[in-house]
Formats: sequence, C-alpha cells, structure tokens
Amino acid sequence: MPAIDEPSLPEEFSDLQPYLEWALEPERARTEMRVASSMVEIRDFYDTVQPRLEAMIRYLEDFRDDPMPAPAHRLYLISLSLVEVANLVELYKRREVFEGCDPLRYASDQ
Amino acid sequence: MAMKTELREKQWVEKYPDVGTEPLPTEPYLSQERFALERDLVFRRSWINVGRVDEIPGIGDYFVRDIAICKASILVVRGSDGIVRAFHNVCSHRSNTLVLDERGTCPGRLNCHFHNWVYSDTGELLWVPDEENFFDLDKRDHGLTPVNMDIWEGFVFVHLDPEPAQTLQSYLGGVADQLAGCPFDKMPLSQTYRVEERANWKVGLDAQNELYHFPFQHRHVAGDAFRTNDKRQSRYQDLRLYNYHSVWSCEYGESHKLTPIASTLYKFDGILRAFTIPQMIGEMDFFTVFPNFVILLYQLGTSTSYLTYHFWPLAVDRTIWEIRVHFREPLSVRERIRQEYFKCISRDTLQEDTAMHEAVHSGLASRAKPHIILQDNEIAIRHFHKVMEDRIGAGLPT
Repeated sequence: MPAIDEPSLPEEFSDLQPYLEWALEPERARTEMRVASSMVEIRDFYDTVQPRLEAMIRYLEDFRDDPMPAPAHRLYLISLSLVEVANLVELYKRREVFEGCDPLRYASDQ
Repeated sequence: MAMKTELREKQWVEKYPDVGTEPLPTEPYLSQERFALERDLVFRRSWINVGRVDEIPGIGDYFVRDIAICKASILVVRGSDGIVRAFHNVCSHRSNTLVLDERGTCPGRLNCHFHNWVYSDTGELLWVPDEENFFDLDKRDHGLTPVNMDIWEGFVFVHLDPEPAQTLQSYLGGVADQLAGCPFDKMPLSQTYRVEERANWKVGLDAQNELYHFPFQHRHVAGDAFRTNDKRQSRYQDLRLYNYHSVWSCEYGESHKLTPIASTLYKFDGILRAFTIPQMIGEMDFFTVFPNFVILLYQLGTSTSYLTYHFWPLAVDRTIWEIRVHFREPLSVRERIRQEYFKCISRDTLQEDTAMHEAVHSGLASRAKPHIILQDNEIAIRHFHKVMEDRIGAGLPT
C-alpha cells in the first residue's frame, strides 16, 4: 500500500487510478484477477489502458537500469496485467480460452 | 525474403522411407504392461534431462528432480570443489529421502532429518551420531549413491543404468551436432509451469510433435503464424530424423496480422539489438530428445528464445507436463513486456493443448479405434514410436 503522501501511480498516469487493483504480482495474482473478472470489466480495463501503453513504456524506460520507484512499479504491473488479458479482448473476444483447460492449472507463483 | 519452405505433399516420407506409412496401434498408450516396459527399457536406460547447470551456479546449490516412473529422486548438487554431481536422494542409514525441498543451497553439508547423518556436498558421509553404537561401520563405505551424469551445453542429463551403453554425446547424436555452441546460458529461465494431465505421456508429446494442428486447434491465437500452402495447410521448412531424436523447423507466415498490443510491443525502440543464433535451422525449431524432452527454439521479434517441455509419466494415464520458458535478459522495458505478452499467449495456447491431450486420451481409452492414422507432417511422431518399438523390441541397453 502506498504511504499517505505518496501517489499510487506516477502523476502523468493518474487517469489509470481506477485500475490500480490490476497492479498485481506474481503472475498467479494476475491470472486469478483475470479469471475473477467479467468480460465487461476486462474490456473496460483494456479499452482504457491499451491506448496508454506506448506512453507507459516510454515513461518506464527511464527506470530500466534502476530499481523502479513504487508508483512506476505499479504502472509496470498494470502493463503486465494488460498483456495478461490482451488475448481475451483482441483474439478470443470472450472470457475463456476456446476448448481450453481451467486456466488456474497454469497459475504460477514465480 | 525468399521462402525456404517447399509446399508439395508427401515430401518427408521420400526423404525417410524407412519410417513407413502404416497406421500405429493405440494399445501402447493404454497398456499397463507396456508402461512397465517403457519404465524398464526406456526411462531406466536413456539419458534423461533433469535440468540445467544455470539452476545451481553457486557452491552448495542443489536441486532435486523426481523421475517418478522409476521412483527415482535425483539430487544434483554443486560441490565445494565447483563440480556438479548427481546422487540418489537417499540417506545411507535407512533410506530416508535426504533432501525434501525442490532446490536450495547447503552450507557445505547435507543433513538427514531422521537421525542427522551428515554428508558433504560432494557426497561423502561425514558424521554419524552415536557412531560408536553401530557395528563395524566404516563411513567411507556409505557415501551417497552416485548416479551417472553428464552435461551437454549446460543441460544436466542422468542415466539410471549403472553402466550406460552410450555416452551422452553419442546418445544425442545429430541434436548435439546441430546445437553445438548454442548460447542457452544467455537465455535464463523466466517461468515454469507444471501441469498434471489425465493422459498417457506420449499423448502430449505426440500432440506437440507436429504442426498440422496449428491452423485448426490454435486458430484464434496462431492460426496463420506459420507458413502454409495455398490451402492453408502447414508445411515444414526442414525435417531431420536422427538416431533417436528429431527436429522439424518452420518459417513464420507472411499474413500474420499484429494486434494493437503487439504493434506497440514490437515497435522499434532504439535499444533493440538483434540476438540470433546460427545453430537454428528455421524461425522455429522443435527438437524432440528421446524419450521425454523437447527443446523449442524460436525467434521472438529480433531475439531468440526457447521453451523446454518435459513429459514426466506418473502412471499409464497420468503425466506431468512441465514447461520452462527462457528469455534473454531484456534490454528495454518494451522487450520485457513483449516477453510477458508472448508468455501469456503461449500459456493460453498451452491451455488449449492440455484440454486436447486429455480429450485425446479419453478417446484412446474408449478403445473405439485400434489405430491412429498419421500424415506426412506427422512423420516425427512416427519416428518417435519406431524408436520406442525398436528399443522395447530389442530390450537392449543404449
């Protein structure tokens, strides 16, 4: 949890504040969030964050050689959640993998 | 770029007529007797990959891998002399399992938690509590039991036969020649998935060992990812059958469209530096290393990556499919997110595969069909089963 005075996300990305709950690690937490979300929620998250991805990457590149400050790290984790759900919106156009097994069988704590 | 893939039909059986064209029996996927033969004549008598030396870079680092079909637990440890050794993970006293965690670092010694017998990280028995109360016990005779082990390009292989008939290099044959010097150490482990499947271990391996299914089963994610003919049927760029192993290679398709996310992630970022490997044959190479190991090398953007698969039989109808994802250290945040994206796409595709493996096994188990039928692009499956039949038929150690 952010300290009292610390912004949760970098100032330039305060519009993504409603999606802070997607700033998750490790991979298992992002997979569980994906499984627990409705397609409406997933699409809303994707539609808002996807157009910001280029700006997010450019912002984060400044920190690539240093430990990221916590707000930047949360932004980074949101980008990982975006690619976690990208397939559902862009290719499957539904919440489930076609003829797939339970996705939690592929949940990983690493 | 000129296409390297020939699109004509039935080209691989021309190259390898000996593997035949007949249907294969379904019983070997189902028979308990057959499973026992595979244990005794294949898994106990082949070089089995158990991991990589990168997993244990430091003195005292160890990992434990179970070869469940042989009820073997293998302890691989880097000793204080820097040398990597493999032992049965069994205490000499009363055969307790020595190390219980999957990996770790020992401070120069390994303690059995039953009666605290202590071993060095090179396998000698160092200390026995209340030693004076034993009868003629000579500690020098009771070190850990070594397992034959050899290392190829950083991959650790063990052989459970006390006297392997072949060296690892000779066993790997053409695979070792093709991938000699491949910089696997530049592509560290990023993720491991270990999925227990209700299927015979060969069902999953066979399902992966061809490209025919891609435009169909994986149509949503990767239907047009690889080179196809004008009827949208997959074709290989190259295919080679080795002594026991095989490789098939393919080119990526030209019509593959980038999604909005992929367009952003594959954009030139100014720090991109190509990382390609001269050992690769195509843009994706699928090496099957007999019996249960796969090395899958592929180009991801301008960078080479690889996956490994292990199919670990638990029972005739239960298997752990272990998938390890390796990427080079990313040079930029964009590359790191691209790797994550690729991993997620792969994982979704693997979920399609797992469901399919189990559905195929159910169909086989119904015994509705005595045979499976294979086409030219499924020739590597045919080769694998021929090697298996030869091995079981001959019953000879290799």
